[in-house]
Amino acid sequence: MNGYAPPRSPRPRSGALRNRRDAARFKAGDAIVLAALALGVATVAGLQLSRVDASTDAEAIVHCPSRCLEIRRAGAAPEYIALQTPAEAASDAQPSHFIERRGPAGVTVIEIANGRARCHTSPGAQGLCQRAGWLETPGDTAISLPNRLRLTVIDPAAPYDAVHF
Amino acid sequence: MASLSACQRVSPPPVTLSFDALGTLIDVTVWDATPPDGERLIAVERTLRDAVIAAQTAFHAWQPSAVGEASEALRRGERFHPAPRVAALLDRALDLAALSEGAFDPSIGEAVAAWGFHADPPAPRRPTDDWLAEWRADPPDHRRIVRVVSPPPLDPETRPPVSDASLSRSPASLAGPAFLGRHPRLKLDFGGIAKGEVAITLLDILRRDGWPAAIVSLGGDLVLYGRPGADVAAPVRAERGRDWRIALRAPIAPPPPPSDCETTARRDGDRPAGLDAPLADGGLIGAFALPPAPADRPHALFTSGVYERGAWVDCTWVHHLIDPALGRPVRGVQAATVWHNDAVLADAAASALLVAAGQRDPVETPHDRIARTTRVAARLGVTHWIVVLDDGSIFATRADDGWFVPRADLAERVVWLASPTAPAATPLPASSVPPTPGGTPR
Repeated sequence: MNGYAPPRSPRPRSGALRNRRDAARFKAGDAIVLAALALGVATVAGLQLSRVDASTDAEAIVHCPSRCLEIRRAGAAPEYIALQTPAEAASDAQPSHFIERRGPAGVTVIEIANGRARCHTSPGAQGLCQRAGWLETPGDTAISLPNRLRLTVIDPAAPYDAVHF
Repeated sequence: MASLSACQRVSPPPVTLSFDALGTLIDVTVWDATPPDGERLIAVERTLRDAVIAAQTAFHAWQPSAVGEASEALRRGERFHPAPRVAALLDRALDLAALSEGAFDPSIGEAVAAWGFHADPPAPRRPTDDWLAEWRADPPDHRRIVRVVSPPPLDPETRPPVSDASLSRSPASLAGPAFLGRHPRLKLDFGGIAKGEVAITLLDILRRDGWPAAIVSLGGDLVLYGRPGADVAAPVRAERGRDWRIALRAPIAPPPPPSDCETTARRDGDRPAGLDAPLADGGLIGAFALPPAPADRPHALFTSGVYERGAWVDCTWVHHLIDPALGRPVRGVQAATVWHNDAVLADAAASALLVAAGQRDPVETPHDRIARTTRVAARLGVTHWIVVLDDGSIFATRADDGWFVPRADLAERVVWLASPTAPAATPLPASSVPPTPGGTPR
């Protein structure tokens, strides 16, 4: 991705598929309405809103304030893990830590280190998830088809509405 | 400050609904000008889920489905009426197969199964040489499926009276087109076209439900309509707002071959796909700028890539995209991407262009293959497409449109092809196009 300067919007927007920077612009009443909506709707099987179960990892967050890894699984709420920026990672390198997510075919282990993430191990003979390598630029994506899991780096400042692959 | 604040339009964040079907992840993202009502979301989620389940029941290639029943009838050589949804898609698929010179073919099921991809998870394998020779000598291709033309309606003056009882028996003329198979090994596989049909079905549900903007992603293939960002509620032809900005992920290189393959001669002397010059794994190779689109003419972006499903078998990378004429996986090309307003066409064309760009004969040059791809694209009416060959070279059309902007450090790999004549997308008033590094202005 070196040297890539993506197109810039004249009016920077989240460019996001999901609830990110815009959430901060809501009035308190809007937040209450949305929270109630999320809680009510998410009780329906399969319906996904931007919320995270409190029982998941401590680092999982409800909204992505800056740069995040999005973990999306069929039948589960999307999760967001904050990632260091490249500058932060350069000045304060952190050791790798690992997150496990169970899917229909087994456990996918996600490694997070220095502002990037990758599929460390995942079920499936093809290794498609691992082959995606390190994910560090907004839009970078890895997929585990056997586990119906997708990892994507997202950033509210990224100028994309979606990623095609 | 008050006026500035008043000018700042803020739309509620989009909501994404996820489904697991058709062997992939389906994400449906909807925008609205006001926070969506919970009951409305629940209702549309149920409707979408029912539609996804119905699609799986209709189109699944190797589990019990209407397509499976149609394949059985084709092999028996009987005239039959498939389920209406299958009949409509088969009818369209046969047209597209003929237009693509067979590069796309819906009757490729036996070959896909022979290479181990009619299983979940896939179990790639190599069929016997005898099987390959038999396939190439007498392929059960789309030309072996005959559409039976219904007789013209009788003259009203001489037509016998129709009773209510006869109507209730659903005469054949109301059951859609009939088909007849003329090869005992015909097996349908709509893997190269069904996602386009399903995407349109899901978008129709959203459009009827009144969502002003939506993206349906079927494993990364996108169909979308409306206007992005804060102007979601504005008419799509309004002179404001911006384009949709869609990133294109790079093909992922296959894993290295097993170590003992270094000294093992590969069968057929082919080179494994994607190993010559892989692009940035998991990264982006560029971005699309697509204007706001009305719901009845959505944008469809479809990509066929040899990297999605595959494994090393006998030191050859075996993947699921089969060249119908040769009965074996396509070689020499990594991915083909198509943009069109017709999602069914875009889906089939992505498969067709990938096959057309493949190395069918050792003496073919890249120029030969791209010439064939250009010809097939023109026959299909596809004007906006991208092909990535194994050597990492990128061929793309319509530099003048600025529809695709490659990553700056890949720009020199892109060969821009002459612009075809037929427009692929409705030109809409536009929007402020962001600066395009490495690209051409609109």
